[in-house]
Amino acid sequence: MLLSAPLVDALSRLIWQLTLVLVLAALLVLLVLVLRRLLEELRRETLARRQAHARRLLLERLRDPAAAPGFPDLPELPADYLIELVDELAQMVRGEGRERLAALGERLGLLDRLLRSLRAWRPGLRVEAARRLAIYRGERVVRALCRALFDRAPQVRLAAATALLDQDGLPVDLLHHARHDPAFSRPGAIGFWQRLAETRPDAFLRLFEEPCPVERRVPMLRAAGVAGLTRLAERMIADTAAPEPAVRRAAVMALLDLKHPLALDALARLLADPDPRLRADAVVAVGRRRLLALLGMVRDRLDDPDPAVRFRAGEAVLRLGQGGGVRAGGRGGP
Amino acid sequence: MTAPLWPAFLLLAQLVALLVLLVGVAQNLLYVALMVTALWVMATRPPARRSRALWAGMVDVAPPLSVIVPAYDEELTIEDSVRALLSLQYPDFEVIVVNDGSTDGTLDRLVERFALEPEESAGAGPLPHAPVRRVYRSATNPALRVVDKENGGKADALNAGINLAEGELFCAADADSLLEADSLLRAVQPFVEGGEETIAVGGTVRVANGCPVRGGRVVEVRLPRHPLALLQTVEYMRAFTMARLAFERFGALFIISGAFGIFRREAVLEVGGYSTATVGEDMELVLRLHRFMRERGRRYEIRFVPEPVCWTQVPERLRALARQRIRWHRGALESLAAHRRMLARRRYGTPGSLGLVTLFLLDVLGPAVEAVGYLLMPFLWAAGMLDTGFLLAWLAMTFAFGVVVSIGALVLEEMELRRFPRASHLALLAVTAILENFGYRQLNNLWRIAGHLAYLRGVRGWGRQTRRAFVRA
Repeated sequence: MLLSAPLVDALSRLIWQLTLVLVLAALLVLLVLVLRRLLEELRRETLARRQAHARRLLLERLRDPAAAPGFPDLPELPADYLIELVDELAQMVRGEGRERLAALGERLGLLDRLLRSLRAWRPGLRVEAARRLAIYRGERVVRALCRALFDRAPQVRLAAATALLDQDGLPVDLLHHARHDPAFSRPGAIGFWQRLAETRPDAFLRLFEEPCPVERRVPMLRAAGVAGLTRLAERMIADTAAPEPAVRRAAVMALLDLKHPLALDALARLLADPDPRLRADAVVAVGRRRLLALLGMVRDRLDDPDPAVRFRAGEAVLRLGQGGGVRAGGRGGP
Repeated sequence: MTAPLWPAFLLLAQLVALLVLLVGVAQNLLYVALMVTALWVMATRPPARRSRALWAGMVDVAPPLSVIVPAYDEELTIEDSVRALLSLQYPDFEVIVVNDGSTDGTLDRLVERFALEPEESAGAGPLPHAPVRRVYRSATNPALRVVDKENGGKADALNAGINLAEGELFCAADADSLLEADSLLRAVQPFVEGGEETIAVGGTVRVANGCPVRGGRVVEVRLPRHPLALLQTVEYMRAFTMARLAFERFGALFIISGAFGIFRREAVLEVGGYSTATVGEDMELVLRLHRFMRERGRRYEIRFVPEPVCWTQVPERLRALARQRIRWHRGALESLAAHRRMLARRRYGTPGSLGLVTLFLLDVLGPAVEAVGYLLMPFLWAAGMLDTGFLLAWLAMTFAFGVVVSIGALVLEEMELRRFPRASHLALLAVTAILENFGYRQLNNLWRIAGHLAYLRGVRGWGRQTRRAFVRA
C-alpha cells in the first residue's frame, strides 16, 4: 500500500509529533504571557498613582521660575517610564528647564541607560536612544553619538547626527558623514538638514555650496526654505533651472517659503515646465498660497494637454475666487 | 466497479490523500515562515513614537491629505464616522464623503448635521465615474465636502473622490469604520521618510464590536461578546499582525484593506484609479500598482504599518458573514484572474512569485484540497486503507497546526503591540484561537468554495449589506 511505505510512514510520524510539540510550546509561551500580564495588572494601580505623582512633581517645578534648581526625589518607578517622561517634558521646555531635566536624568541613571541602549541589538531602540540623548551634554554623550554615526542602520546614523547638532561645538566627523553617507540623502533626512540650517547656518551654507547628488539637494533645498536662509536665495534661483525636475520643484517651493520677490517668476516658469507633474504641482501651489498675481497663467493651464493639470488648474481657479471661469461638464461634473 | 479497476481506484485515492497532506504541509510551512518573518520585522523596526512626539516631528513635513469616504446607505453610522474623521490629528487634511446614490437618509443627515451648502465644482476629473449630482461643502467646517452622485459602487465612488481630492495623498476609508486619532499621522510617516517612492501604505483593521464609542472614538478596548465576532477578532489579528507584516518585508504586500489605506494620488491616477469590474477593488488596485511599476522598472514601495488602527464592525449574523466572505473570496479570485500574468513570473519580482503564489496556494488550491481531505481521509481510514499515523499527520496539519499559527499571532501581538488591555482578554483570545479550528475554520472553507463557485458562475456586484450602529459609551 502506497501510504504504508516507510518514507511516508516516517514523514507522517514526524509531522504529527512535531506539531504536538509546537502546540504545547505555543500554549506554554502564551500561559507565561498571560501570567505576566496578570501580575502587571495587580501592580498597575500603584504604578499609575506613582507615575501621575512623578509627572505632577516635575511639571510643577518646571512651571515655577522661582523654584530651586534640581528636582525633589521622585517615587520609585521603572527606568523606561522615567526616560519617556523626561523626554516628553524636554520637548516642552527650552534653556534652563531642559538643563535641569538633563541633570535629573543623569542623577537617576537614565543617561547611562540611554548610552547602553545605543548599543542595543534592536535598531529601533538605538534610534530612540540617539534621539533622546539630544538633551544631555558632555564628552561621553558626544563620543557615543559620534560612534553611532557608524551604525549599520541609516535611521540610527541620522538620529545620532541630529542629536549631535544639539551639543556644543560641531564634530568634524559629522560634516564628513553628511557629505558622504547616503543616509543623509534620504527624504527622511530633511529633519537633520533643517536642524543644521537652524543651528549651524554657516556649516549648512558650506555644504550647500558644494556639488552634491540630487537626492541630497532636494531635502537641503526644502530645509533651507523652511529655515528661512535668505542668503541662499540666489542659489535657489539658479536651481530653478536645474536639469532635474525634483530639484526645480524643490527650489521653487523653497523660494516661496522664503517669500522671495523672484519666487513668483520662478513659479510662473514652473507653470510652463515640460514635465506635467511639475506643472500640476505649480498650479496647486498657486491655489494653496492664494497667489492672485498668477491667476492668468493658471487659467491658461485650463487648456493644458495633461488632464491632471487641467483639473488642478480648475481647482486652483476656484480657490482663487474666480469660479466663473470654469464650467463643469461631462461625466463627473455636477 | 469491476475487479481490475479497484486497485487503480485505491492507488488514485491514496495519491490524492498524499497530495492533500503535502499541500497542508506546504501551507503550514508558509504560515511558519510568515510568522518568523513578522517576528523578525517587529523585533528590528524602530519603536512607534508617541502621538505627541509624532505630531511635533510631522507637523511641518506631512503632505496635504484627503480622506475619501464612500457611503451607501450609512444613515446609522455616518454622523459618528464623519465627526471622528474631522477630529483626526493631522496638520492639513480634508474629508470627502461620497454619497453613492444612497436610498436611505444618508445625505439628508449629512446636510442637516454639518450645515452643507452646494458649491461649484472644478468639473470632470481624470478618472471616469457615474454622474455627480451636486457637490456640497460644510458651512461649519470647510474641511468637509460631500459629493452626491448616482450609484456606481464603492470603486466608482472612490474614483469620484480621488478626482476631487486636493491632497497629494488620499486615504480610502469605510463609512462604517472609525479611525484612531493619530492613525493618519502614523500611516503617513512612511510617505515622509520614503519620499515619492512610497506609493501606498496600509494600516491595521480591528474589530470594534463590543467596544464603547463616544464622539466617534473607541474609548475602551473590549472584546466582542458575540462568539462569531470574537472568532473574527482572532482572524483579523492573525491577518494584520502576521501576514501583512511579513509580506511587506519582502515587498510583496498585495492587500491594503479597503477600510483603511493611504495612497499617493498621482500613482493611482497613473494606473487609472479603482477598477469597477471587481468587488475586490482594494486588492486589485494594489496588484495593478505593483504590475504598473514593475513593468516600467520604476522603484516603488508599498508599506504596511501595524500601529495606525481603524476600527470596524464585523458581522454577528452567520448569513451576513457568509455573504461577506463569499464576496471577499470572489474579489480575490477576480483580482488574481485579472493579473494572472504576474503569477510566478520573474519580471514581477516578489509580488508575482511570493505574493501571488501564496494567494494561489492558500486561497485557490487550499479550500478545495482541504475539502477533499475532509471527505477522503476519514473514509480511507475507516476502510483500512490509511495508517493511523497518516491520519494523525493529516489531523495535525488541518486542526492542530492552526492552533500554533493563531497562538503564534497572539504571542506576537502581546510581545510587540500589546493592544488588548487585560490578561483576561488574552486568555479568552487564546481559547478562541484553539476553538476556531474546530468548526469555524471549516465553515470559512465552505464559504471560500462558495466564493469559487460564485466566481465561476460569473456573479457580479456587492449584494445586500447590513449596517449596525456602534455601541455608545
